Amino acid sequence: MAEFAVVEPATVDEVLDLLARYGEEAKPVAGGTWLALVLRQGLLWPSLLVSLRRVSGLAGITVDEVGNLRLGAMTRLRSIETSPLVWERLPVVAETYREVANVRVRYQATVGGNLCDADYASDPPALLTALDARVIAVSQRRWRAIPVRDFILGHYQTVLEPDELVTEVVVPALPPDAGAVYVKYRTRSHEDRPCIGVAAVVVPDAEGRLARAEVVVGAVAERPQRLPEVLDAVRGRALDDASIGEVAERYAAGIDPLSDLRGSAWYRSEMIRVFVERALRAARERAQWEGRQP
Amino acid sequence: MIISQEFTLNAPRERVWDFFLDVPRSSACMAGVEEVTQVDEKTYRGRIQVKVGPLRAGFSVTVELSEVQPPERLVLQVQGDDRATGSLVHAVVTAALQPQGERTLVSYQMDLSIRGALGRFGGTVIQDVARKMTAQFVECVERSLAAQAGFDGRQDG
Repeated sequence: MAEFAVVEPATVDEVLDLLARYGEEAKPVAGGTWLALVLRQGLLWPSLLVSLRRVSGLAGITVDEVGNLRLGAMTRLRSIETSPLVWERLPVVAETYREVANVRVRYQATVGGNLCDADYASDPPALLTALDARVIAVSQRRWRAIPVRDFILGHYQTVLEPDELVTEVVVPALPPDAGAVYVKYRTRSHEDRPCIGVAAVVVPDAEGRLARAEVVVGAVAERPQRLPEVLDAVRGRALDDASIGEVAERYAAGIDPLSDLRGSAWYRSEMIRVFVERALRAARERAQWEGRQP
Repeated sequence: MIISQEFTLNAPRERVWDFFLDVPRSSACMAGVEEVTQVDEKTYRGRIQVKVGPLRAGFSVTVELSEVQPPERLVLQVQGDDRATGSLVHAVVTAALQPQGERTLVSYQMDLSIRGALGRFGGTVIQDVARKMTAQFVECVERSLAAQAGFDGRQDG
């Protein structure tokens, strides 16, 4: 295992100073659930761990003036699943974080840490992609808002530079008539990571057709999978069983899945079809279509 | 874990074969390979650094050319260990070369077993990494063969 020093700065500015000075030699530690694993296994060799535990202002859940849900990077997953504010504003966010691992992990793991690990077998990235959430990253050089959709590049790899720190995840509000779900499929035990996870969002227009549809499949490839051409093709159409079936078929055909202990590539393709369909049906149930069926 | 893949190289089979058997040159096309030395007629030693995002592992590797049937079939026995992660790797790589006119179809199968921390960490990621490394390897081999063809051409003329 690597030999490293641990520092516990108190402010974001101190953290940014350390990251700027030590670059790739330094690693910020949020909840540490993932970092502890890779350190123990000798896969990561930092010389400095920058603990975020005492940094003020990084945890918390708020709603801003335009209605965005703002999740501080150090907010524990458990705090999200138990937040009345999240349940009121975007219940699908609370539901999804409740599905991650087990309650012991959720008391420790954080919103920012989970995204920065960029582990493919994770639940939140697919949902946050579907909700068009942004990651706020700061450094001494700049401030930027990165769409979650562009944040994860591949296995354990994000667009973050070594001197950047994630401070917040900003989730835009959904229209009141929208329906949003995250459907997780486990193939082994209840505490398992997903074999596949599907986030679906549907927004009806005034005539009861689809103003917007989002479908993002997680845990089947190195990053969450979203097929814009398929989603564009159903926009403006009725969300009937035929359109749902078409989206499911095209997602199953359009994604090249990986194989792991939770499912082979072939099996995953089959399950993508099944679970995209289920997720879209569930999202349709949750959306408000009254009085405007086409 | 069995990883199999195939790719086509833009060169005749004999040239591809010669290139593969020129271990210092062909191994230079594997990203992260360094310090390649020949131990005996069919055994080579070297190191390989594998990077996945911020994670890295470095293996000391011994490669034995256990079956050499020019110019069509090659079997390699690969043993590697990584002290840092306490991982052991064993792989049998079987490569077959088929002529396709002036081109060559290379198919390989790698029977890979990993013990230790890295093995627990995830075969999935390793498969994905192998896929990417193969793609890089193919690109580099193409480049090297093309450069060599240009050089040979000048020599002939």
